[in-house]
Amino acid sequence: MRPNDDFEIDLFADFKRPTMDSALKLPLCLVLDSSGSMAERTKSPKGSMVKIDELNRNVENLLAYIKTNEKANRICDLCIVSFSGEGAKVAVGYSKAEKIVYKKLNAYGSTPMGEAVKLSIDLLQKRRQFYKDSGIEHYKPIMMLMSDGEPTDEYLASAKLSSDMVKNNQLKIYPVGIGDNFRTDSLNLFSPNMPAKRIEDMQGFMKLFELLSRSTSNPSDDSMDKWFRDEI
Amino acid sequence: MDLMTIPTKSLVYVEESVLQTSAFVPLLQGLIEQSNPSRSNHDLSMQGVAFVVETNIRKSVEHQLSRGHIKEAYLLDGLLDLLLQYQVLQFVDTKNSLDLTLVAKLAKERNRPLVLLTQKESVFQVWSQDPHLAKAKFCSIVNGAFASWEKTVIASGKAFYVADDHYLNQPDLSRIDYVYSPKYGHLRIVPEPLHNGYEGYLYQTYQHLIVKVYRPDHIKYTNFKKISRMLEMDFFNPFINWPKDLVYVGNDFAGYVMEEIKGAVTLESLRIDGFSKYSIVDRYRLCYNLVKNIDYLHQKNILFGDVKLDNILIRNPSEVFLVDMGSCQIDDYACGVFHPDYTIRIYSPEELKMQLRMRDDEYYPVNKILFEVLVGKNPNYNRHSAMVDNDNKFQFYYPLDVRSLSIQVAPYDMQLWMAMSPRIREMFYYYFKEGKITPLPEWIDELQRYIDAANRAKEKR
Repeated sequence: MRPNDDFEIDLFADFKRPTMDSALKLPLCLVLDSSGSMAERTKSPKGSMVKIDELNRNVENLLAYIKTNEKANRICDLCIVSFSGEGAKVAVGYSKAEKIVYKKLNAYGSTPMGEAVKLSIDLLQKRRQFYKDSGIEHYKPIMMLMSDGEPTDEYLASAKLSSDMVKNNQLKIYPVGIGDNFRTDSLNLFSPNMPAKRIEDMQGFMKLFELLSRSTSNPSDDSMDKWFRDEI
Repeated sequence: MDLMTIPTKSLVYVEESVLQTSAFVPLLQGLIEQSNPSRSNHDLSMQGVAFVVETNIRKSVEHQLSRGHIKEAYLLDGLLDLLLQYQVLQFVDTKNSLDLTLVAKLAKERNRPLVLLTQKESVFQVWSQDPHLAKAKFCSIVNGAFASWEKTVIASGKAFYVADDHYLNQPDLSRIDYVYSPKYGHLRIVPEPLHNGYEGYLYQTYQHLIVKVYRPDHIKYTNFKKISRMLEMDFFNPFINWPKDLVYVGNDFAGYVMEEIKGAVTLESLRIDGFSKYSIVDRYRLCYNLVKNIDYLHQKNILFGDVKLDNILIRNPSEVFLVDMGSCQIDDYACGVFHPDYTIRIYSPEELKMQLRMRDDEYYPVNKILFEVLVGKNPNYNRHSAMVDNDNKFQFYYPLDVRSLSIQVAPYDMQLWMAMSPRIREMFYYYFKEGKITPLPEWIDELQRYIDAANRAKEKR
């Protein structure tokens, strides 16, 4: 037997284990546009849809997927921030999908995207501090920023903030434009690596949320990245 | 291996495996005789050769004794005493042969040719890749003489691959109720897949068997040949879920059948759970059994291939199963999948089909998984960010020297790191810092030591 002086401590004792529901988390923040224009129909050649209805339906499907997938349910830490005439607000604070009661978003008012992204980053920073304090390891946070129009607030500072986080490897951001009434330029300012993806119809929504669902159960899956870059 | 003589006044580093065989004794006799061929006097100078061993080598004597290996223990002890008596032995800290920088430095300072002696090819392979040892000669002992290890060119081979798949028809997979196995007959399957993976779907049957049905793009002649080859082999290990038969949908090859492992959970599930129901020693036991199974494959020149937490099922720490063996690498049949978190390199689709992997490629996932089980974090876990950083797989923040740290105030993962044996800490540290591989048999040995020591400690309490 190796002499005990080889070991600094009683290595066979069990230490006080931190209590946690999961040793690994995937923070996922949906930053969703619920401005007035989201109540309009898209004019896609493949069929029109009311944007806010389609958004609500897909968020509900995403929640249903996460709840039924064992791994996604355990690791996914979900937050939803919406932005509309009321400003930016936390629709759902970081929590497990099974605890979320989703209230459908209503569309009205302006598009304060800058404020929403700032709020999302603040929430994320607090959440990450909680992970650090609790000894919980987490995957790179994912933010999905969806809008059908131009920001109506002062958004450049928030765009720089999110861009810096992406460049510093602290955040993965997926910018999504709904319909054709948005300019890629402003969305791309939030996302230095991933180009904005346009979705125009129900199939686009379904594909987006299907890939997002897949990421919640396998954060290393790069299908979403490839789809955004039109590689698949 | 070619027999050779070493230069006079060589500095010979003797790795532990050499001292555990009786081969070393005739080598010493030979050196003495070469120094004094006529035996006319009592010159026992051994041609001016000096020997170096690891500082902690005496602990191996204690370990051998504790395991009842009396002969090996006394042989090792006796040889060390003999060399000390001849005044030709020096002890150097080499982190149990993982880091020979100090030995190389010593040889340079004394202007002596450096010879590194091991009986283990795996140790030689690790040394031969160390730039500090570029000028050294690598030897083993054969028939009482030095024999040179030949540096092998480390390059992966080409896999068997048929681009044109006209040998197989695509089965109709739109609705599957039954598959046919020549061995088990018709197997009715539970329609909803148990798992939906990259290569195919897993279905339960009503006969305690699991069927893997490949996706259309994986129903390939190469896979048909590979599974057929696996079935031909005389392979029996109850903890490795080897294919039991081919399966067909209609008349067409569709996949294979394997045993259902009941009452087990994936290692991934335990990892996410933080091993909440496992004691520390349970974790070591789990690792020991896992490494033994992977080593069993390596001994047969088979690579597990898609090494990831999902493909390891645990019933309890002593019953650890490797599954999804259809994607292993065997002979010249490649492994067609990988998990980006459990590989050093990302393979292109073409490479996956056509290129064979090296055994060393499997050491990254093995080390990572062992670390995840024993510490509960990714090896590149950085408590300042708390984030899994797969872009920097060889960033390693855990310190080798833990003596200045206080266990009382350390976070849980650091407590587990500090609770390792120093040797295991070194094995992780040198792998994740410098890519130095500890061969699986050594891992098995070290994990066994830990478990043995834990059992003795329990008895004493």
